[in-house]
Amino acid sequence: MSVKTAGGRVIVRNRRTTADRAKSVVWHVAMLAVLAIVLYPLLWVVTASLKGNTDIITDTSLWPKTITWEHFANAFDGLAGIPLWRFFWNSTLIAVLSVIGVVISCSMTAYALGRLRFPGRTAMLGIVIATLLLPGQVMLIPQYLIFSELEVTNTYVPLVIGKFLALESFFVFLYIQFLRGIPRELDQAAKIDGAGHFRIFFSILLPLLRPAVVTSSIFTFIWSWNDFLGPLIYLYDMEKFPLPRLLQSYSNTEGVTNWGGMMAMTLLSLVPVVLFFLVFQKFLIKGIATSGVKG
Amino acid sequence: MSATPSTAAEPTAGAAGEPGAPPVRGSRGAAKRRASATRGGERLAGYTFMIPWLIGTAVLTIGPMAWSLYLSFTDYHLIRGGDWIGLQNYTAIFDDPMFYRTIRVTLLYVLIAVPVKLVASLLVAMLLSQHRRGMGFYRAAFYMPSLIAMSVGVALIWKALFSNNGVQDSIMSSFGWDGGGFLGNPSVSILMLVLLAVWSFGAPMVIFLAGLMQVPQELYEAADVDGASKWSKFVRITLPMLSPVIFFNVLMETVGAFQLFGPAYIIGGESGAPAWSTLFYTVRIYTLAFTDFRMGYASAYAWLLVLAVGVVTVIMFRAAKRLVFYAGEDR
Amino acid sequence: MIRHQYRAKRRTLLTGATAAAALGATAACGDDGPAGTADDPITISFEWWGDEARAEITQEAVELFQEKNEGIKVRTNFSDFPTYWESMTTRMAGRDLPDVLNMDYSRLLQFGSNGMLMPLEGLVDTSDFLEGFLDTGYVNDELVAVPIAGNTLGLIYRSDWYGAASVSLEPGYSWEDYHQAVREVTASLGGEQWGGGDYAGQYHFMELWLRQQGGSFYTEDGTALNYDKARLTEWWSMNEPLHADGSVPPISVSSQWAPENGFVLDKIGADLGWDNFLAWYAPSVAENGGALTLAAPPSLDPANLGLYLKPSMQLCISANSDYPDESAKLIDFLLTDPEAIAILGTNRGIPATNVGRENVEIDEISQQVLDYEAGVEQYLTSPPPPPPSATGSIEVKFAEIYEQVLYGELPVADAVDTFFTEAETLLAAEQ
Repeated sequence: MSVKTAGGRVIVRNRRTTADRAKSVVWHVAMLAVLAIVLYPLLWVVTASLKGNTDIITDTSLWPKTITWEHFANAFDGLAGIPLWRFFWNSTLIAVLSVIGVVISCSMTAYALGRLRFPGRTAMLGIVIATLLLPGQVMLIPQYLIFSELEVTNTYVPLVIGKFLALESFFVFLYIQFLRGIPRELDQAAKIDGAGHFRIFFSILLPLLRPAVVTSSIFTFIWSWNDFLGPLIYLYDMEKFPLPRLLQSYSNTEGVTNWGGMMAMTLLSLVPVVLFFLVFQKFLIKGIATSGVKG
Repeated sequence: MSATPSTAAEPTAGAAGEPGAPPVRGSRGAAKRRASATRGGERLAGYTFMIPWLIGTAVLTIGPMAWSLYLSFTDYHLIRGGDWIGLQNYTAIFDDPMFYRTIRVTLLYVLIAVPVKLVASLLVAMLLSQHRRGMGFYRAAFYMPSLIAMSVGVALIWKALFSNNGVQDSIMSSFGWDGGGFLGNPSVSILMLVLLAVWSFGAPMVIFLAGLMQVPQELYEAADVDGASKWSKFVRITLPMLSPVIFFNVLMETVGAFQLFGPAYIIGGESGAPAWSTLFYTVRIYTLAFTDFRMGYASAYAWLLVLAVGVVTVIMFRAAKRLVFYAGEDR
Repeated sequence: MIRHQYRAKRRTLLTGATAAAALGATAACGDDGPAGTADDPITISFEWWGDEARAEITQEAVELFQEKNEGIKVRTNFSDFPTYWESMTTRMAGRDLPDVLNMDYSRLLQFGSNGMLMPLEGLVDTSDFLEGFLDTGYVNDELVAVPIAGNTLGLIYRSDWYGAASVSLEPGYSWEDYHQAVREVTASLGGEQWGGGDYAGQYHFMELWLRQQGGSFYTEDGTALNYDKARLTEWWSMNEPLHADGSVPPISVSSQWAPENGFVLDKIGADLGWDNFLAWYAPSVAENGGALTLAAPPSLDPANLGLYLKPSMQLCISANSDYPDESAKLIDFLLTDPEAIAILGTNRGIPATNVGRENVEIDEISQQVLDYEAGVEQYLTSPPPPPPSATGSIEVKFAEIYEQVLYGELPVADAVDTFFTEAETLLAAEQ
């Protein structure tokens, strides 16, 4: 919140009438009620994971009668003797590789498309925008055949290679949008000083693009953390599974008999995303608002 | 695009430029020479920076698209290979009862989920666009579900919420609707996915919020002077001023909804349980390709999706030309 | 620049790994003696389907194997049945199967006929199998799979519920008798429990019914369905009266049991099923204070029950395995090592080898299964040929489409048409 509004508010508060205050209370109560409905599923899981196994899904209340930590203990055991941290590590590895790939390749591509002039640029920009809307399913099969031919299935290569090759059009687009906000005079001045394009990009523009780098990193992290289709198609060794595949396998093998463990594991798998969100929510919301990136 | 030298097209770094910008050095002639040299350098740099994208696009986008187009005219089977069969896949699709099923399911989802989600997100955005205490908290809290809604974890939670005797069943039973959980009821099971979509209204909401913030307050003040009602202010000011943002959200949400996969797969499985009622188009493509191995046929399915999304996009852009109001735009 | 360093590093890593793998392979081929030593072990992979309990004992047995064979390391992996087959079939395309894999009879032809499986004659010790068990491991006259255990169909039922309702299933009872029994037991239970489940969604049960009439599900060459639409219409209508009077659970209820089962959840009193599944259901039923019994399935003809001995699970070696000898060693160990057999118990069924039967601890449940199998032995007839490659998908479609009927989404006649179209397309796609 900016200083300006805070200052403005102080003045308003002094002049507040009782009617205004009552109105404000009503408004907050209404908003909190809506919020309670919206966040109910999450709250329900939190409490469900602490309930006993018998009535776990039938109990709609948010207060567990007795609290048990046993589900979390079970969840940490993971699946098939592979501990839970292993799946967390896999997810983290994929997410971090994806972030590195996206930040480097998409910013470079955006610099070329947004700042440089060369034949074919417009066509390439057109392709980037078109792929924003292109259903990925159409490339799924040939991509699978290619990766299978290269013998890289059951590795993380198919999951992250696209990130290193600037195929995340969303982020290329995001970087172009942010680049537009940086005055061209900056690069021109550097150019006149004899700086090459690489120097201009890496030592002048990239530092200025920090908000875009942060936004794209967070989104890439969260999306790759949630990604299911890629790991579903390309990975089969349980030891290599990221969390979404673990959850799917766990629900298939443990099923309805162990809802508690399921809930605890689900909850744990969401923790990094929620934490990330809480820490970076300002960036995220600004990023999505200015660039139109979807969550 | 531009045959003109880029430097000339740019606004000259004049008085309005950066305060610390160094003064322009050198004579006119030297600058010109340098400009043409830079142009060559710029071209080289441009292609160099584009190398990853060029490789990626050639190998993993354009190549696969051409290949899948080719596959769609073959009876390619993952194990057995295949031969050119011309348009047979496409004619077979139109005789395929499952095709119409998946279209029904997908369209039903798009037509319910997208409008409901957008209306909900606009409403909440309008509530949150006021200046009140704690707005940052509300925005963050309402936005959060959209980050996790598409995860496997939440889809599994959804299954629990909507199973027999689950939360939804219990709540509805207390209101006298004794139909059991949505999870086992093909006539309402799609609602689970619709609700999941609506639950993730945070993303379009934030975009609406940004749009609402940019509507000039003077317009509302002027309308107040004229004694306009809240509704007429909404219809005459908010909606038109917001129309570019609305268009963006409608486009992205619609295109996204056509391609829903993860939650549909987790909730309905490969067969779109119960009774094919959650058999989304993309799930059908996945099953055809990766469990039945009918890659040629699946490719034809995928290309029809591309075609459909393309048509929808074009229609939307056409409609946007007439309906979207770009304030101060002279495009 | 960070990017280039990173990429370079990754590439070396990748090539390094490939080189190491290649080196390992050549080393293994070059040696005539036992490949791999304690210092330089070779690694084979072994995968199966099942739950965590199975994974635990299998892992234990595998560790014992590694102890006894110092130069061989075994990398294990497992998943649930549908996921397992999804993974195996996609990997078949990439020729990337594990060295030793669990096989299901319904998938044998799909893998065997595509040259994915290594001929086992002379590689695996086949001398100790019980009579008749090896018959189902052949594809094109070559042995490509060995059975871990065998099973056959039967009727599993809650003897406590049936006893309490004074309903008995006399040998030679007909399908109509069975329906009547289900009806009576359901009536005696009242509430959310049923005397039996709908059985018409499983193609194995229809196959049983067809075999009782001298027919089969697929034609001999496996290129077509071996019955007409009228037949399927009849089969898919058999449960209709039971649904009409509420004697079997409605689909909206039973569909939510998966991946659990109506017996385990204390919901149903009888169902057709593989006899070895008793081991899965019985402990939970006992926990709920009940008891399960096996009976011969209902039949149209008391002299022909349609039963055959099916391998409940088989083991195969991938044709692409770099270490066939070591893989065979693992198979031999799992099937004939007394200690391994003691560890594995009857989790995968009652062993198919003599030494297995001698060393396995037969608990009460297994004894029940053995007794049942001895009881119906005279009715076992020769097994059908391995089902066609598309059978996995056809099995799924069969269940899916019958579900439409139960939900009232499709009339039986339309459902039958749909299934025939789908099955014919799937069969044709494999030709």
